[in-house]
Amino acid sequence: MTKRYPSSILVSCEIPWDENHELIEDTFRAEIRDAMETFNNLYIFGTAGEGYALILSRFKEIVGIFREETNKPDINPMVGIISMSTGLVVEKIAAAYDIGFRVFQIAMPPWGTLSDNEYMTYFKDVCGSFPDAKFVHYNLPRSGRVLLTEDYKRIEAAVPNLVGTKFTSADANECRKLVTETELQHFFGEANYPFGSLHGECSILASWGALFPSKTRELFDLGKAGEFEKAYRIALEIDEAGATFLAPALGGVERIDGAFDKMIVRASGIDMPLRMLSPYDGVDMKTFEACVSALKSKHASMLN
Amino acid sequence: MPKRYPQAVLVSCELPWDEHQRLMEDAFRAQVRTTLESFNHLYIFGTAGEGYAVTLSQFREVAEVFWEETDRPDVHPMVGVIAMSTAQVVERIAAAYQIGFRMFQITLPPWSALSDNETITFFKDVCGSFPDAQFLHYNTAHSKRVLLTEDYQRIEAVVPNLVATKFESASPGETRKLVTQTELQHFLGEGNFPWGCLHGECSLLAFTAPLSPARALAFFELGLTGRIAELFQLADEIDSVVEALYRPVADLPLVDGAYDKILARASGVEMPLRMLSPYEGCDIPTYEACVASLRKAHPEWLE
Repeated sequence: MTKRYPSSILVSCEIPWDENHELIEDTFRAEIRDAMETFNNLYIFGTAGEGYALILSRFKEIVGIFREETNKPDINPMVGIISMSTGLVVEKIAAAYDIGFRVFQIAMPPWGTLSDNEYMTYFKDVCGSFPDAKFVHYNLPRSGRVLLTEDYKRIEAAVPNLVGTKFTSADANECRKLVTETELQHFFGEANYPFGSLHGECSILASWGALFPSKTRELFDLGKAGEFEKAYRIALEIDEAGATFLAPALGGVERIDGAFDKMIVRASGIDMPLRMLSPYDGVDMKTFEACVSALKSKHASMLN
Repeated sequence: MPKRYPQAVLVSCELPWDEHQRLMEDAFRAQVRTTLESFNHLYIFGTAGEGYAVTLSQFREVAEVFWEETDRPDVHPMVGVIAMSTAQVVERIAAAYQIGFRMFQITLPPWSALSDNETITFFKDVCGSFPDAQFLHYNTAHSKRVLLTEDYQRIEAVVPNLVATKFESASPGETRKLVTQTELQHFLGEGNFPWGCLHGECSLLAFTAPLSPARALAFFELGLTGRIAELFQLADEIDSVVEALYRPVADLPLVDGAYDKILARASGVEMPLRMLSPYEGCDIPTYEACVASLRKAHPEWLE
């Protein structure tokens, strides 16, 4: 089935904050440039990038810098929007659109779980407000509802500029249906990308891209080439190394995803503080160092 | 135990939107004035008032109108703020503070359930930014974490201007602990207010007040005067009224505010049923079925 958006590896850029919760601009720019050495599809403001937490003025500030760094040939930047209503989502998209962006990643509002009619209204109202832009749906339980293949078939019939999904929790069977029964480009996680690639064209949302860039690229290429056994083995390597890395930070305390993503970026060599915007807690430095030690002791080869 | 905020009946004002999702200012002012005829503690921007959905400019527009209508002696207006981070919450409170408000109703951010530390950080950062304001915590499962008595004991020890909660889902046992073991004024719903009254001073979040202001006031008075048997009897009647009103929409997946608008409209104010996108309100035939259902079961409530 022909897809509405090209297959690629998509990576998130996290936001570095100083002790006053001000953007550390130089670090942010360095992180973007580092990501572009290996990848050319990158985004800001998923959960990892604290897109849910920003006020509009801060959103514009960061989007402006992201535009300056990514407005280059063969770079495909995307801006995420996480907010509580159509009005709030459209307001932020309009701000990023004015700055120059045309690809957006949108989540459904989390305050009340959307019914079938309501999610259709949401996609029609948001995507329909920017007909020359493209949209990826960030599909996750935090929104109160995870959409499935049957939902996407209904939406893609009515919303021509919904072009992709980010769906790292899809199980093997759902991956098959998504890939074979919809026109959308599905960005799976490292773990479910091999299941998707068994059945056709799909993409990777590379949570570990910053730390394991060469393995991520290898995984993507193996999936595209149809070398599935090798792809599963690489996915397993990434999964095991990731679990080893995160284990010291998982003891008993629930943390929001971005806290872990900042550890991943920092471990990759970027000067990324671990703090999160209030009220969320980041991981402390001692725990982070334990994570790095664990990774080096058991999976040193992954860092090559 | 002395409470940090006066005992009261608290009533929500809903927002009427036209077909272009713009505020119907006259209808909103009329609703606020009608509410003020019977009550003097009122608020905007809970879930019922679509506080989660408005943009900052809509927030300011509505708050300014609300301030014009409620800036009077012996009226205690409150502004709700539902947002996704400390910074977003503080930005909105600052906007309402500049207009003149000093009492705010805040919820925990809903994107991810807060840990104990994060909960304390949220209240310290938000309430600490406005030390001469007072705050009520809107304690709802929409925020992915419902706080309990032990949580409030920890928070009230370090946040002096957290003065109250809105907690309609507290169980009888939890209600007892809240009332007897915290300094906060707890605004309970019609269902659990009687349980709170068994143990001490508490307040009423009067969901059904627009439909029958006199009954809401009488209900509160029964609690104040300790007429517990009559209080529970009226609570039972109110429960029956609510069940009858919403019977035709019982299986519809509507967000809370859609139900509040049905009730507001049934009370006689000009209240369109539409909600801000993407949420759906109930349609007029279904609304009429709701009113008919209530009229059949409890005609005296529509007189």
